[in-house]
Amino acid sequence: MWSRFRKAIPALIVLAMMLGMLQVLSMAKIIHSFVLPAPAAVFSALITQKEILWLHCRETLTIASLGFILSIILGIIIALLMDAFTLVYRALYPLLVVSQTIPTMIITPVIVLMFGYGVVPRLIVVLLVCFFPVAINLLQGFSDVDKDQIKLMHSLGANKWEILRHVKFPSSLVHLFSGIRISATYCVMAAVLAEWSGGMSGLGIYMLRTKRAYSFDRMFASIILIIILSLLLYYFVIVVERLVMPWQRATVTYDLRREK
Amino acid sequence: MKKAKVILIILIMLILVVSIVSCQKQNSQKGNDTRSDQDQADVGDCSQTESGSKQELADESPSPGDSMETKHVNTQLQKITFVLDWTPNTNHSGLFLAQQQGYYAEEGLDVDFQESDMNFIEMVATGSAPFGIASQEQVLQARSSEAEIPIVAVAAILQHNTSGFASPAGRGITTPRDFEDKTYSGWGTELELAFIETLMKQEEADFAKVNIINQSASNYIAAMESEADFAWIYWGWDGINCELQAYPLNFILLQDIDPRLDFYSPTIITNETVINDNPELIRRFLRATAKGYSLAVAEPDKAVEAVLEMAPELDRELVSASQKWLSKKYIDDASVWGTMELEIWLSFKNWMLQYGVLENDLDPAQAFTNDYLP
Repeated sequence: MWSRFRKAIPALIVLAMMLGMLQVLSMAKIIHSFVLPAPAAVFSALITQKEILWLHCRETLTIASLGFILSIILGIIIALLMDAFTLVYRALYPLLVVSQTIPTMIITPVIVLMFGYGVVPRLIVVLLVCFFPVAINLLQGFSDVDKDQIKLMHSLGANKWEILRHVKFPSSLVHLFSGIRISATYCVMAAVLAEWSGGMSGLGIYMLRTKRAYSFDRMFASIILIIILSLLLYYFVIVVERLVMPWQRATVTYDLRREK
Repeated sequence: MKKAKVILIILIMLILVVSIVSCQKQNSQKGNDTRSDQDQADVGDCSQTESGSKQELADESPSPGDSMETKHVNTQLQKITFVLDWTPNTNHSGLFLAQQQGYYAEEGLDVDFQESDMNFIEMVATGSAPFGIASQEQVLQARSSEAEIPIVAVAAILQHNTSGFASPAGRGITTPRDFEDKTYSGWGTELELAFIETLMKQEEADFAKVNIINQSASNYIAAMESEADFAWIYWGWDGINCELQAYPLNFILLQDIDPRLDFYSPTIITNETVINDNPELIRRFLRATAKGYSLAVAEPDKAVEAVLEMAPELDRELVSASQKWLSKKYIDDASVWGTMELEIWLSFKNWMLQYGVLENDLDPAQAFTNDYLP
């Protein structure tokens, strides 16, 4: 635990220095509070607004996590179908890629228009953003499976399902989880984006309202919350990943904190 | 493989936890605070209040599903959605007061406010919401577009335009002639550019000499601090904010230079289907809304509370200063709240046509009506 903390020290020092510099600059009125609020003001906004923020936070977190879970399920189902049936692959693959090229800002108002205000359109937006990394990574995982292992399974008389269960799926878990990790970082922002096109609650709404009332300290407080939420979800995925694939620990930790 | 099962179990547990949390939250909300405008957080499997927002607007009889909202004595309230054009602000005070003071309930209405600035006109046009807000130019543009969006203005929230061009006092921009060789930070619409061109023509200045940048995502003070010199703002909100921040501005009100630009800025809109099928709904709604705005004129303090109740995250100081200024503007020199004049619709439409900000000519008498005002 201590060693992990020690590795974070340089980043913390840089962060503290940047915040300190910002604070000094805004206290000296070199940076106006309506351009970038002082860190201390943002922190005190976090405290004074905590009840309202919590209400909005809960809203966004519910949508983000629900949408996240649904997109994992949807991503896995799509990848399985595309892997199992070449026809499905050919039919869906181009559409999947196209679905990611539509600017989300443009498509969300249309989705809200079709489904009204409420949970459904928000979930759809999160789904649209988050299922793709899961599906694509899992597909990649399936195609990277050791061909010899599959040949072996064939020669042992295994059917498609058994090959999937015993060889393909387990060996694609690493890919699956890297997709899920990307989704985890996207989903809070996707929920915020969905809120921007309509509704009365959520961190996105809070952000818009405070921005338009020129309370930039409050606006930045909500941004910090969004960052924290995204990080929490990300680390949650990593914890689950370690539980599911203890043998992968070494590779997972590799990209998180580079061992010397 | 065992691991696959583990993932599956974890996922199922997660779904359960999240849905339980959200269901509980909803129940507690129903208990403490039955205001329908609160979070629409109905997670599909624990309630179906979704139907509330999509309810057929032409349907006079209240749907049984809505009888759960029982804050007001009347359980037969008809639930309707109202789409705001922007974040809740002092333009909306009368609406929020009418809801808070129970004026809508007296008319048998329960209004569900939704803020949405990307699709509010379409929401009203498609009938997802019977009422909403749009400015005169938006109504005209919507109706004259190829899509012929059938929205109609039924009341003016403010009698006069309150927008204009602002610049930091130090830049010395006091008349449109000073726009020459300056940088304008805009929202990227043709309308603003037409405003600038019109104002400059009045003073025989050269519009081509204005440098134009788009800053729609940013805030205009920051823009004026960095690279721009002037911006289009609403005095009742943005200008008041600068006063509070002790940030001195020069401000050129549009109609001071060209009276044709004194248009109706926020108006309450509905669509033609509601007008044809349910005119009584419009009368009921406007009766309550007019009462709300009259109260906002008489008691600005109550209006401030109503706005802050709707959006507690807004800055109280800004809301009350803005409210104090705007309360005088709702009725202003008109005889009653909400009334509109054909002449203003006509001259503004002609101006829009002249500057090419309107696709096709249209009859402005079709775009608005005073028939449903109390």
